[in-house]
Amino acid sequence: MDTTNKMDVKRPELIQGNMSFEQLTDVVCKPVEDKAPKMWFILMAGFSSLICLLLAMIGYLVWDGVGVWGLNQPVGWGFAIVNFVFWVGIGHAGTLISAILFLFRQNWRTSINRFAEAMTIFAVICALIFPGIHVGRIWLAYYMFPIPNSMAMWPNFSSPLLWDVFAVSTYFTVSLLFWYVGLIPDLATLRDRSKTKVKRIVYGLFALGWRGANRHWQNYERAYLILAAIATPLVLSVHSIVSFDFAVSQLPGWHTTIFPPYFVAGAIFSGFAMVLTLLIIAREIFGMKNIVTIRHLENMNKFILATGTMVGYAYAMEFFIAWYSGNPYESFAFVNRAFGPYWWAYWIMVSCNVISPQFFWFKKLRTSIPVMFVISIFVNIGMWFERFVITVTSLHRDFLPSSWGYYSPTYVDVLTFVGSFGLFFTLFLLFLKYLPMIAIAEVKMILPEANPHHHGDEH
Amino acid sequence: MSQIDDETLLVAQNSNEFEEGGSLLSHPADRRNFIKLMGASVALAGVSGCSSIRKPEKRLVPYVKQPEYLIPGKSTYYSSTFVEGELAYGVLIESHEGRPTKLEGNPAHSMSNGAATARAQASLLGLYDPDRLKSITYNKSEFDKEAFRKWVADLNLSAESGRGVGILIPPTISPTEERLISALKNQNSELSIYTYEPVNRDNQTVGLLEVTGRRLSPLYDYTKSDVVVSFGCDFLGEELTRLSDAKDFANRRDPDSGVELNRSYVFESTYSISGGSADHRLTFSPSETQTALLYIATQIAKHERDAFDSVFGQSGLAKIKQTLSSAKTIPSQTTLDVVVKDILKHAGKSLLLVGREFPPSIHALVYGLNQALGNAGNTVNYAVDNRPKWQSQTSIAGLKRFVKDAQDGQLKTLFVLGGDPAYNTPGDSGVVSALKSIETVVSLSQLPTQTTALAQWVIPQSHYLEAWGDAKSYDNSVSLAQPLITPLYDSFSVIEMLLLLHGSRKSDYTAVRETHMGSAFQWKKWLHNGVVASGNKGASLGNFNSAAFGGLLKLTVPSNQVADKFTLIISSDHSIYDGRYVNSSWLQELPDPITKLTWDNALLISPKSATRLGVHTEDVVKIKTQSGEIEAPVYIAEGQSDSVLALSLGYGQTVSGRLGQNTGVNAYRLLSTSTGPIISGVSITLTNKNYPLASSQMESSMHDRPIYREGTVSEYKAKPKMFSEMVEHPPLKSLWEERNYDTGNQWGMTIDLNKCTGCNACVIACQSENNIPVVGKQQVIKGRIMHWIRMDRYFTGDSENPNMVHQPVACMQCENAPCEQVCPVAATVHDNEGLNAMVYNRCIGTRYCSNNCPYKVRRFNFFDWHQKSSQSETKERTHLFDYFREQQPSVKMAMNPDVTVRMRGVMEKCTYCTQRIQEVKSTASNENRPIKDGEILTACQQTCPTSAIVFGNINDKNSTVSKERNRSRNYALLSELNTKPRTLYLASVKNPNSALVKDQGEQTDHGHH
Repeated sequence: MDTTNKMDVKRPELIQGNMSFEQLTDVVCKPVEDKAPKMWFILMAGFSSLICLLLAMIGYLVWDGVGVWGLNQPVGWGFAIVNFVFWVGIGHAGTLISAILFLFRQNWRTSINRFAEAMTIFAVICALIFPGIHVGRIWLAYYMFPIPNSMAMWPNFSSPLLWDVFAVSTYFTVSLLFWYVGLIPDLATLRDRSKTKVKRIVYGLFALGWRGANRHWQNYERAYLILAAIATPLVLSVHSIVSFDFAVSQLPGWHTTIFPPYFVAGAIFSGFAMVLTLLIIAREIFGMKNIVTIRHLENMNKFILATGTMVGYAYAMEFFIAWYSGNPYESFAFVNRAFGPYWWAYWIMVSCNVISPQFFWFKKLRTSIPVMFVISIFVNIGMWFERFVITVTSLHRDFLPSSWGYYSPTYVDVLTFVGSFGLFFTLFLLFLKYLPMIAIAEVKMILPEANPHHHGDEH
Repeated sequence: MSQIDDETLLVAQNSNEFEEGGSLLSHPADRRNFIKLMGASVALAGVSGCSSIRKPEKRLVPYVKQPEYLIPGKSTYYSSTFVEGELAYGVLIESHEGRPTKLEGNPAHSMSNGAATARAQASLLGLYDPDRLKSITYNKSEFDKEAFRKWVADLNLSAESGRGVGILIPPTISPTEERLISALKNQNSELSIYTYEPVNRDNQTVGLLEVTGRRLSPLYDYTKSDVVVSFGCDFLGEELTRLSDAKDFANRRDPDSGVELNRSYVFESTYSISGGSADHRLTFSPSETQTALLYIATQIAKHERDAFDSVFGQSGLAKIKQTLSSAKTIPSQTTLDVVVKDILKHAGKSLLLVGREFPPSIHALVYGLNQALGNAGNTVNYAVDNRPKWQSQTSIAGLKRFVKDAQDGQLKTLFVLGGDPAYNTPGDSGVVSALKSIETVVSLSQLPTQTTALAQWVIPQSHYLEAWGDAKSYDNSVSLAQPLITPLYDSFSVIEMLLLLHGSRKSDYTAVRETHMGSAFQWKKWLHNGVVASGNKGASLGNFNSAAFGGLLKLTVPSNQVADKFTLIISSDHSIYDGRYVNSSWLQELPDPITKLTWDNALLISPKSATRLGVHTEDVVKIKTQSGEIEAPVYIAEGQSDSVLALSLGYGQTVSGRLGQNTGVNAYRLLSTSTGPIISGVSITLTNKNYPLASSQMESSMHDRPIYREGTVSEYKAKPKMFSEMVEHPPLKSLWEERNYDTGNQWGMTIDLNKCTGCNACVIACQSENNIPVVGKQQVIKGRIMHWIRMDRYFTGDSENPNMVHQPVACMQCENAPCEQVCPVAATVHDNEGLNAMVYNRCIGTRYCSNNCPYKVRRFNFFDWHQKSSQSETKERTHLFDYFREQQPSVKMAMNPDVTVRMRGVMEKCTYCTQRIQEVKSTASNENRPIKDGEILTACQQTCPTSAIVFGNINDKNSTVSKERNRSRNYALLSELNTKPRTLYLASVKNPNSALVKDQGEQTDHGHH
C-alpha cells in the first residue's frame, strides 16, 4: 500500500520575511558595520573586568599553590575539573550542529551554525584553562606533551589524562579550522562592503583572496565536507575520552561503562542549552527573528528534550547497575549521592536535567520564548551540577571510611569559575561585533531564490 | 708542617677549578674559549636582566681534622637517655655531620628494647625549636653567662646556710642531680627544696607506702599473665613501663605461635589504648570501677578466704564490705562474677591493675589482692624506690609547702629548675601569687612559659641532647645521656645550674663522670651501650599493714549522688603530655589515638549525655569545679561513660612558643590541691559559642566493610581462612600484562593487627625519618594532613558498648598500582624490587593518582608547608625566582639529608623507607654479600613497641616477613580490586571469655561482617 502523502504539503520557509539576498546580507552585516550600541560597551566593560578577575585568581593560584582552592585529601579534583568538563560539554553543540547536521542535510542548521561554532571555540578556550592551571606545578605542565627531552621521557600513554590532552587539543584545532573555513566567504563579503582601509585589509587578509569564483566554491564545499567528516567522530570522541578520566579509574561512582555515551548525550544537552540561551538574547537584540525563527528554536528544544531524557535514563541506569552488580562500594556511592552530605547537589541536578526538559513535550511550551529561556538556564545549571556530583561526591567517600572528607569550594574556586564566564562572554561580544553571527553564504543557499525547483516535487 | 703546606697549595690550585667557569677564566689565552665566551656573552646580553637568576655561590668546606667515625654522608648513632617525669629509657640518636636528626629506642635498655614513644621521638624537634629561649635575661634585658654566674656567686648561698633560698624542681631521677642536690642540702641546712611534678603516680606510691612502709614501683610480667584485669589503668598507653610491657603483652596475643593467648578485661570511663586492645571492655565510671573492684575483692575473699585473710587480716573483708555497702548497686554483676571466676582460675597467673588517678586506698587494695592471689612474685614484682629525704612525699605536698613558705615570706630567692609551676599547678594552689611575692625568681626553661613571664632571671635550659646527664629508670636501670651537639644557645642544664649553686667550676661532664665511677674503659662502654646498670626485676613483698589499709579505705572516689552532675577526669595528654611539648609541631599535629583530634584538647562527653544536654561536637560549654571554671569545646566520644567527662592537660598555655600558645584549654585551672584528678560534682552549662576542632578522621564507623578484620580465637581455630574469605569477588584479571616479581629482592610488609595498639609511635617515626611537614590546624580541618602512615580508628558494635580498633595504613606498594596507571607523566612507577616509587622531580601534581588510590594514602603538598609554617622566616632572596620565606635554619637541621624535602605541588607517600633500603643495599654490596633478613628496618617497624610491623624480602622464603605472610590470618586490604598490595594485614584474633560471649557475641558478629 502506498502510504506517501500525495498532497502537496508546503513546508514553512526556514527563513521568514521574504528577504532578498541583499536584504539578508544587510541584516547580518548590520551589527558588524554599525557603531556598536552602548549596551555592547557596557557589557564589554563588565565581562572584560571579569577576565581581570580570572587572571587575578590564576595569578594568586600560581603564586601560592593549589591550596587556595578547597581541595583536600580525598577530594583531589574539585571546581577546576568540574568547570573543565562543563565547558567542554558546552563546546559540543557547535560541532554537532555544524558537522553532523550538515552531513544529515539538516538545512535549518544554517541559521544557527556560525553562532554555535563560535560558542564552541570560546567554550573550549575556557575549558582548556582549567586542566592547565589545576596541576600543582604549572611551570612543568609541559611534561604532559610528548616533547623530545634530555630525560628521554615520554608521557604515560596509559593515562586517560594524556588521552584528554590529545582529544581536547584535536577537537579545538578541528573546530577552529571548521569555523574558519566556513567564515571565509563571509569574510570576503565583509571585506567587499567595508568602508575603511583598516577593515578592508584585516578582513581581506583573513578572507584569503576569496573572489567567489566557481573553483573557489568547489574547493570550499569539498573542504567543508571533509572537515565535517573529520569533526563528526570528534563530537563523539572528545566527551567519551573526557569521560574516560573518570570511567577508567576504579573509584566507585566513576568506574562505570555507561559513561562515554552518557557524557556525549550530556554534552549535547548542555551545548544546545547554552546555544539556546545565547541565541534567544542575540536574535532579540539584533533583530534576526526572521532568520532564526521559532522553528529553529523548537528544533533545538526537541534536541534538548531527547538528550535530557537520555541523561535521565543514564542516571537511572547507574543506580540500577549499582544495585544489580551487588558491589557494596558501588551501591554506597550512589545512595550517598542522593542521600549523603551532597544530596542537595544531586537533587538540583535531577530537577534541572531530568524534570525541567520534560516540559518540552508540550508544543505550546517548547515554542514559548520565556519558557525555553528559563529551561535553558536550568539545564546549564543542572549540567554544571552533574559534573560536580560525579567528581566530588564520588571522591569524598570512597573505599575506606577513615579517609572520608568533605569538600567546600573557597572564594578562589568560585571567582575563577565566574571569571571564566567573563572570558567566554568577552570573546562572544567580540565575535558579535566583528564577525557575521549568521553564515550569510550558507543561509542564502536555503532561500527560495537559491533553489529554482523549490516549489516543485522533490528530485 | 710540609703536609699542611701541600694542602694549602692544593687548595689554592684547585680554588679555580670548583668555581663555575673558573677554569675558563684562568686560561685567557685559549682562543677557542675566548670565542666561546664571546659568543655566549653576546647571546646572553639580551637577557642580562635575568643574570639575577644565577644561584649564589656557596663553598663546601672540608674538615681540616675529621671527627672520629665521621664519614660525610653517613650517619652515626650515639646513645643517650630520654627522660619524661619519672619515665626514662635509653635512646639512640642518629647524627648526620654533627646534627641529630632522628631518635630511636636503645635495644640495650630494658625499658625500651629499641622502641620509643611518639613523644620521645618528637623530643628531638624540641632541640631545634626556633621559639626556644636563646639568651639569659634579667628583667627582660640580656646578660651573658658570666653576669649570671657572678650574680649567683654574689648570692653567697652558704653565708646563711641557704636561708631564704629555695629550689623548685621536678622530682629528679638523675643520680647526678640527686647527688648534687643532696650535697647542696647537706652544706646548706636552711636551703628549701620543693619537688613538684603535675603528672605523677603519687596515689600509687602513697597507697603502697601506707601498707608496706616502703616506696615501691610495681614491675609487671605480662609473659606470665594469663588474665589481666585493669581498673581504669591504661597499661599499654600511659604506664611508665609501657614500652616493654606492650612487647610482652603482644607476645601473648599471637594465636599462631602456640602460646596460650592471654585475656584482658578493662573497666574504664574513657576509651584508652588498653581498652581498645582488651578482650572485654566495660564502660564504667570511676565510682563504678571502684565498686566493681570492691565487689571482686569480696568475691575473691568468698572463694579464697584463707589467702585473703592472710593478707588483709581478719577485719579486712569486713571493712571492704562496709565500704562497698555505700554503693547502691553493683554494676554488671553477672559479668563481674565471670571475671572473678577467671581471676580465680588463673590465680598466680593473673594481674590486677589500677589507674594512677585512683586514690591511694584503691592502689593498696589492688596490691593486697595481687598478694592474696599469689600474683605477686609471678606476674608482678616490686622495685624499691629509695628517694632522697629532701624529696617531697607527694607533688601536691611539695607544692603546698612551697606556697606556704613563699606566703610566709621565707623565700627571697627561688630557683625554678625546669617545669612551669605558674601554669602546670592546680587552679587553687596559689602558686602564681606565691611566685609574685618572691623577690627574685630564677627560671630555667627551654621555652618561654608563664613562669618565665613572672621570673626576674630567665635562663635558657639546655636540651638533653646538648648536655651531659643520667637517669635511673623505673626498674632501677641506670643510663647516661651524652650531648650530641654543642648548646645552640647560651643555656644551662639542671646539672650546670646545681654546679653553679655549689660554686663549682666543674663541667657537667665531670659531674656525671664522678657519679658513675669506673675505669676509662668501663666509661666508654657505658657511653657506647648507653646503659650503666641494667634494671632489676624487683621482688614480691609479703608485708601488708592491714590496720593502715583499714584507715586508708575511707579515701575513695565519691559516687555521683546528684543527677545532672558529672565526674570529671583530668589526665595527661596523649600528645603533649603535661604541656611540656606544647610547642612541638609534630606532637600538636599527632592525632589523639582515641579522638583523632589535633592541635587542641576537648571536653569528652558520651553520646547519650550529649543528646540529653543538647550539645554537639565543637559547642563550647562552661565547666565549673570547686577550684575554677573554664570554657571548653565539647567532643562527643564513643565509649565514654555517661556520667563522666574527660579533659586532658597541657593546653591553654598563654605564654609559649608560636605554635603552642593559645591552643586548647587549660585543664589545670579545674584541678584542686585537695581533690586529685577525679573530680566529682562537676556541672557544665552551655554557651552560644562554637570552637572549630581539627580531627584527622571524620568517619568512625566501618560501614560494615571488611576493612579491619577480627574474630575470636575459637572461630579462627575452627576456620583458619575465615579472614581472607570475608570478601567474595569474581575472578580477578588485570588489564595489563602482569609482571612476575620473582627475582632479586622483593620488598613486602605485614602489619599484625592483633599486636598493634594504636600508640602512634610509628607516625612520628615516619615523620622524623621522611621529613614530613606539618600543616597546621586550619589545614587539618581542610583535610590536608600529611602523615604517610596514618592510624585509622574505627568503632564497631553498638553505641552502648563500642569496640575500638586501630589500623595503621600506609602505601600498600600495590603490584598492580592504580596510581601508576593514571599518572600522565609517569611520575609514579614500579621498580624491579616491587616498590611503588614516587619521582618527585617528575611529578606535576595532577592528583589523579590520589583520586585513584583506593587506600587514600597519597599526600599532596597543597602549599609549601615550610614557608606556610608560623615558624618560618623571611628569606634573604638571592635570585628572581627565589622563595620569599623559608624554614628557620634551626628547623632545617632536623631534616634527614637522605630524604628529599618536597616542594609544593608535589604528591608524596610512603616509600617503605627507600633510603634505608638503599643504604643497606650499598653496604651489603660493598661487603659483597646478600642483604640479611631483618637488616633493613623501616622507620615505623623499627620503633614499633610490639613488633606489629614486619618488613623484608618476600622472595626469600625463610625471611620473617615471608613467614608472617604465610600465616592463615593474613589478608590483603581491598584485595577484590586486584591491587595486589605488598603490605598485608594479619587479622585481629580476640580471646573473649566464652561465658561472656553469649551476650556480646551477636554484637561482635554484626560488627565485622
